[in-house]
Amino acid sequence: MKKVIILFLMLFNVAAAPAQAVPDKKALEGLEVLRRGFAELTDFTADITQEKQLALMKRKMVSRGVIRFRKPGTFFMELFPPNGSRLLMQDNVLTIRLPEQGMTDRMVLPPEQSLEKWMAFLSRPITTLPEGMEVKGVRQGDSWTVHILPSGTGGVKELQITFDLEGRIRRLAIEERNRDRTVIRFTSMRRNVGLKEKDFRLN
Amino acid sequence: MLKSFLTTITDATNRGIRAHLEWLFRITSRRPLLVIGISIVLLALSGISIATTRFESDIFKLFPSHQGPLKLFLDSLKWSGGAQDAYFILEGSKERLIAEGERFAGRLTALQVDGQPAFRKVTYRTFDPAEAQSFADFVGYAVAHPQLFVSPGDAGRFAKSLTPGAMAGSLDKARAELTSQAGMGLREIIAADPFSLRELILPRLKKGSQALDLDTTSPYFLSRDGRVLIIIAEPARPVQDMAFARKLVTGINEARQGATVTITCTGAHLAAVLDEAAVKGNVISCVLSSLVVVLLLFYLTYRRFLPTLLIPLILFCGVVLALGTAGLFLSSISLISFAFTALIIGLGTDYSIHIYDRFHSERSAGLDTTGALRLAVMDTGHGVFTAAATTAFPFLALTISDVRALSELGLLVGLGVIFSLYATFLFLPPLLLFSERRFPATVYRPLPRFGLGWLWEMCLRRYRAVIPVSAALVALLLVATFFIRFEGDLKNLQPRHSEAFQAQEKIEQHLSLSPKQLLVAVEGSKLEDVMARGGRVEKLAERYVRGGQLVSFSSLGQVVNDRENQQEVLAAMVGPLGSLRVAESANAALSKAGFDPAPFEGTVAGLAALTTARPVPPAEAIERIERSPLRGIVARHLMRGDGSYHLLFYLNYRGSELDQRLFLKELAAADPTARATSTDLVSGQLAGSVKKSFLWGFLLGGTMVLFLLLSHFESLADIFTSLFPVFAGVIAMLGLMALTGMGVNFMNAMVLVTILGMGSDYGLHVVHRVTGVAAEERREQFVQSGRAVFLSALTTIAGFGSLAFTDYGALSSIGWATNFGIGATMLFSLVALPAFMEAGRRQTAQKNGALPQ
Repeated sequence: MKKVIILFLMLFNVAAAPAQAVPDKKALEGLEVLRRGFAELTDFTADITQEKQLALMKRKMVSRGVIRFRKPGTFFMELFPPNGSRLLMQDNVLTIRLPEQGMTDRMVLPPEQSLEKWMAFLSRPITTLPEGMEVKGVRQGDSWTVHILPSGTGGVKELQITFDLEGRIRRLAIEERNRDRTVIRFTSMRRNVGLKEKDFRLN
Repeated sequence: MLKSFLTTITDATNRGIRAHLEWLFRITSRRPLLVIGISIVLLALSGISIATTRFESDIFKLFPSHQGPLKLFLDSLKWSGGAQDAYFILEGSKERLIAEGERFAGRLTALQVDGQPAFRKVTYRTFDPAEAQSFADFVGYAVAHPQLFVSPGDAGRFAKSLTPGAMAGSLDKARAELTSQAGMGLREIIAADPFSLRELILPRLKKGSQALDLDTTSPYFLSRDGRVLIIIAEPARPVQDMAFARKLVTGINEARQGATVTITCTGAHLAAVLDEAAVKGNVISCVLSSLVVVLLLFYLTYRRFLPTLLIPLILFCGVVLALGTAGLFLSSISLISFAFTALIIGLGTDYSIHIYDRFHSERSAGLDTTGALRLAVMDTGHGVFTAAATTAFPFLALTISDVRALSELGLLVGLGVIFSLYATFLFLPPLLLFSERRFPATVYRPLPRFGLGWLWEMCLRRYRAVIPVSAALVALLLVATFFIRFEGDLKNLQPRHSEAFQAQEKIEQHLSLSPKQLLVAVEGSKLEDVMARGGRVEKLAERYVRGGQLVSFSSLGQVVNDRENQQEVLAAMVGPLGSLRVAESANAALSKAGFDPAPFEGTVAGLAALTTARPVPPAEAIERIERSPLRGIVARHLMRGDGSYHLLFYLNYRGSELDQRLFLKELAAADPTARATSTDLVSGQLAGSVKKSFLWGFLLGGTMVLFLLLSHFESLADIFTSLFPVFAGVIAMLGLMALTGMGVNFMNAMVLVTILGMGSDYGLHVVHRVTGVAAEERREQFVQSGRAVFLSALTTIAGFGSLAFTDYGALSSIGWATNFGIGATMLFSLVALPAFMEAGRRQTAQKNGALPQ
């Protein structure tokens, strides 16, 4: 559960974690662009298209939805029906609602997974790469793609994040070791729009 | 016949005591160095005995625990290891609590003692993400074996969940979950249970695993109000290793330095160290303060430096010889028993007071040194000897008690009194002789009279008023005694401000499921049989819950069905499932919802086989649970030890709405071998033991006191007069306790016995000195003996009174009870006794015709 959120957090973690001996310059550069992008915003909203290819399903599941974020630590993600769901994370409290099923589930995450904690790190420039994962950066024209490959035997094999030169995320891809794959495309991203409390309602 | 028998006994005893005192006087006045040499040897031997004695602080070891509810209570702590665990309670704002909890747990994990990890395990989260797969595996097993895990009442719902329509609805939900951001974490569980059958199983398991009232949405042991977080750690070494426990507490104190939330701790190791420190601190401050008060009282009254200095030596001898001798009989001595030192200070000083008072009075009256000393040792010493015996024997009578708290204290105080008495007889005469030789010009001025001469005159004049007023007061207090309550809660005996005690209080306040809990154990060597018998207890508990007598209960049977319940579940499911063709319907529903049927083949096959399913041995289910993250359920409810299975039931109740007597009767009918325990039952058991000990102690001690008084006095009137103050004192003590809201508890109950011995001295001394002398000497004898009684009472109150202000409820209650008793006995000895004696004298005189009618 909540792994996509955690992967978002891993991005921040990349910016915050301890250093490797020899940093990849491209990776550092790319991460610093992403970090600046987050550091400069107070909130953002974007439309998303999510494609999930799961071993349990015969076909790829495609959903549309919206994603919202507001500092210091409120994150909201809604996928529209069919298979609709709404997720709200306030600092380290995660609530997920399935409107069609009328189900709501709430849990408290460990503090290292809280949004506020990671946002606090974004004020510091990235000069070193994190331990426990391999990070590569590739720039193609006006976009960057950062590949994050966690070491160990965790479920995530690779995380790819594509963003523009201002740090605006365009695409997020998660590949798992069991070959399940999730791709989220971001469109119509608007930053610092002054999101209100009502934009983060589950009901 | 009886009179002649009593006379013979009295004469023989008095002759024996006189001969003994004569010998003591002779040896101490002629060969003082030999006496001192032998005393030093005895003290050295006692020192060796003390050095090889183990001292312990476990309060439960003070009570009989070889049977009954206390045995089960201690057994359950032993089986679960709960007795060994350390509990940390973090209190603070919600925002800081979790972060600080993580940090502190990290420090505890890293904590080392002697280069080794201090804790085997530190638990602070309810769920470890690394166990997601084993949890999914368990869910897969559980949904394919509903007969084991679904409650019989839900069997129909389970079958309905496998109808085509219900399966389609469940798959819609599964798809929405997989699509959502929760999907990755739920994938394994959905693969194991695509039709959400776990919803009929997991709530039952969750309920069964609930030992504390926690916030179920948090991965931490967090209270529902979010203000308290608990961390449980298993120390690497047992509590008996006090050196380790002390280092552990030092390490814990370092680990919690700088924390931004309040961290308190409890557990056997911590309680042992903290309570040890608390008791030591309490006892040392009591001993020192009472010693200072006692010495001040003595010095201010007699103004003699050397005799004042001798008192600590006498007390030291009394304490060391008592401990050394007790060490020969006891394998270990409780730290609480050290409180006896304060009692010895109060009691042991009395003998010096009486003997020195007589010596000083005789010297100031003009008698020479040897004559004054002889009178002090031989005459006053006789009363002192009897008085010490009447104090020591009731205490020693307590050694027959199976309540270690009483037997140990009785032995120590009894021995302490005897050794203090002999230390007084052996050291005081040589010291006084030495003092006279060293300072021959010493002038013995008359001693302060404390208004006792006036009191004597007044009581004699107004004896007609004093007697009924005293009787009315005693009658009033006697009425009050009927309102005294018994305090059975052991908690009240612990140090109220100790950290370990307060941490326990916090756990109860913030995390307990109900105010009270009853633990039932069903035991046997065969698991199947134990589970079957447990089923009957289960039904009994369910009935009590329905009746509102229990708030709730938790047991393994609520999670794992016994054979009988399994058959009930299967019977309810077989019919509906037989007509459903589960495999075909499931595969069709999966395909229709866009799922690939291949990953679900195992689950579907398991569900299809339900129509022919049979009961499964509960051992299989237990083994499956133990392999899953839910293993805590088994760890809490099924213990293995001593070659047996112990199936435990935790019954939560509020208080008096549960008729425990009736429940225990019904429990015995359901399973005759089942055992039960609770704080109420433990208190009841202890109260029974204390009552029995008290009764025997009272009878034995009372008989001894009566025998000693019979052998000391020649008339029954004298015995009655000397006993009146103590009986009035006992009544006053209980009455005052009732009026001040104090109750009788396991510890202060013994004061009832010991006050007999201590309090009877006062009447004995006064009657011994006043009777048998010429009428014109009576007043002076009363002043002398009354002064000694007054000072003795003050020193006893100084000794016991200091206990009244300790943090240890057990000691404090003893202190207050004794102060009431001694204070009242002294007042009745000094006020009522002269009036009674005057009334008796007049009655005798009237009979003899010396006074007009």
